[in-house]
Amino acid sequence: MSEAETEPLIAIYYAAPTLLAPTASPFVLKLLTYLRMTGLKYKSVHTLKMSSKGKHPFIVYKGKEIADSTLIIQFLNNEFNKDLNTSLNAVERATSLAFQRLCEENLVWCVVHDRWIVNTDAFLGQLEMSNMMKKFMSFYVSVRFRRVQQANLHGHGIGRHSDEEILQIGKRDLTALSNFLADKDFFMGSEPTLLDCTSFGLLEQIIECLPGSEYEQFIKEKLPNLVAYTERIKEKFWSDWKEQCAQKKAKHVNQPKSDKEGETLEKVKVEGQNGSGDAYAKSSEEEDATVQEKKTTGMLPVTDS
Amino acid sequence: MSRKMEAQSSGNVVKDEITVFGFGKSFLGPCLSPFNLKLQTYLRMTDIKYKPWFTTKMPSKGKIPYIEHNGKIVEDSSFIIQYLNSEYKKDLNAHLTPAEKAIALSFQRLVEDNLYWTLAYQRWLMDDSILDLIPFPNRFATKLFSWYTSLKLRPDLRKNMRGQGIGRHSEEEILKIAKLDLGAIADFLGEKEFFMGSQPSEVDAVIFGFVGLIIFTGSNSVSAKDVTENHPNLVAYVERMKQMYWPDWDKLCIPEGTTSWDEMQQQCG
Repeated sequence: MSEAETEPLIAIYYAAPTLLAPTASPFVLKLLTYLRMTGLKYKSVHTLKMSSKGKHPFIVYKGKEIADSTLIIQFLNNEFNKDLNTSLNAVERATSLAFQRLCEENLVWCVVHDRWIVNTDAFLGQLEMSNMMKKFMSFYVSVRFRRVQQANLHGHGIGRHSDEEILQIGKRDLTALSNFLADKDFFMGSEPTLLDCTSFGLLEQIIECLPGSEYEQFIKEKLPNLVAYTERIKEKFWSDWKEQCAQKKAKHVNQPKSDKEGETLEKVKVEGQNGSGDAYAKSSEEEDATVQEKKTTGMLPVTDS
Repeated sequence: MSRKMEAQSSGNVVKDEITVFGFGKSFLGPCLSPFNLKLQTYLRMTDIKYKPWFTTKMPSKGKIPYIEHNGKIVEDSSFIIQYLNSEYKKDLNAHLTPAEKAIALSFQRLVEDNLYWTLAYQRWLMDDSILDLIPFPNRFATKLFSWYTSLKLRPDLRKNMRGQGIGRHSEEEILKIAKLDLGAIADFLGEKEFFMGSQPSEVDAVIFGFVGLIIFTGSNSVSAKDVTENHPNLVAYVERMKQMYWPDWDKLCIPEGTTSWDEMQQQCG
């Protein structure tokens, strides 16, 4: 057996994928991209359980929980002797850290504001769940989750500004990223580094997972190098992007009644993913599991208040 | 819903005069807030005349500093700088390339959206040394402020830090983050005269506002000791900025032993 096969798996805990992305969280996407860049094997565990710091992602490795994407990466770097920044000098490392801070401590809050305050319906539309669950989620978001995020935005400080001012701040940060990237392949040069994990994690969320937002329009119209950049990263590290997204579940259209006791759903005419009429059979346990899964997956992480 | 603003007026509104509202001076420096020091440094760098004024009334965004200019209130140090750049046709970043402006902005984010919280933690949540900085008129006022700090200021700061995210870390983790950020600032600065090169730019006001404040008015803090021991180039830089733009720093500090409220008020403006 090779060393890679006997190596303990890193288990990453985060909420379920959406229809548009393997994860709704820029920090989870950052960590997953880091793992793919370093070639570290991992398994994804979809959960609503939050870390000790009340956030996603967290990992469990050799029975130990580690929270916060930056601390996780530092830990894995030490444990597995990895360093995506090995080619950078001191000034480049400093610059890389500064842009990481721009992304993670400022720009990400513009995304939170857009997703949870301005364009929430557009986000809920990305989740793989039944219409009833979406209605429940919409209600839950408006009475509870939005207030939590508003408190977070206020605590950060950016939430004290008007929507227009926040948009201006976000566009300024995006323009800075675009100008710094310029015509380089990756942010720090011709090879990917840790900053690319952070920036891809965030930019991909903005470009593909904020449909109809002003940020999406702004990037696509004014900052095409950032769009090309995310495509480059996907090609290199996420060739299975579509497979990693949530798959649209088949809808039940006709349910034949059964005369036999204990017999449940058999063959039903369903709408497949491509709109073709694929039929399949389900037992009652699978049905319950599907309903249960719909109730628990696709829901979004709740931060502690 | 916006709150009606009740910013304290400075009294006579003189045409084109800028009044900078803040929390006043301390025994060791001309202001208590790093954002205020950033803004006043910018004003000195651009030769825009201004008058600092002590206030306890908060504007609509609930943050200090804010300015009054020709009857108009502008809040948030970055928006104020954009406003004044436009009004007075100033641009400290004119000589920078787009990529350099981007780098400068990224360090501004590092300082204002990350390092700031670690410094606020050290200043307010690690010990009571902040109380020694502020010239209270009498012992009762000191006690009152101490209660206010325990009952309102510290819980609010903890809540803000938790919302922002950094407050979910342990003290050790927060101090490590401060060390990392200060190291990055020192590494990028190197032996340059100013942060982005041989000419000053806007980010120098930011770096001086935050790093200068902790070095000159918080020298017993973990971060100040870290900078003094490990980053002599950063110490030399803040000294240089102080000489250049704050030659009157010592005169602006409240004299030690001042306790009268009136004397303290007279120090403003």
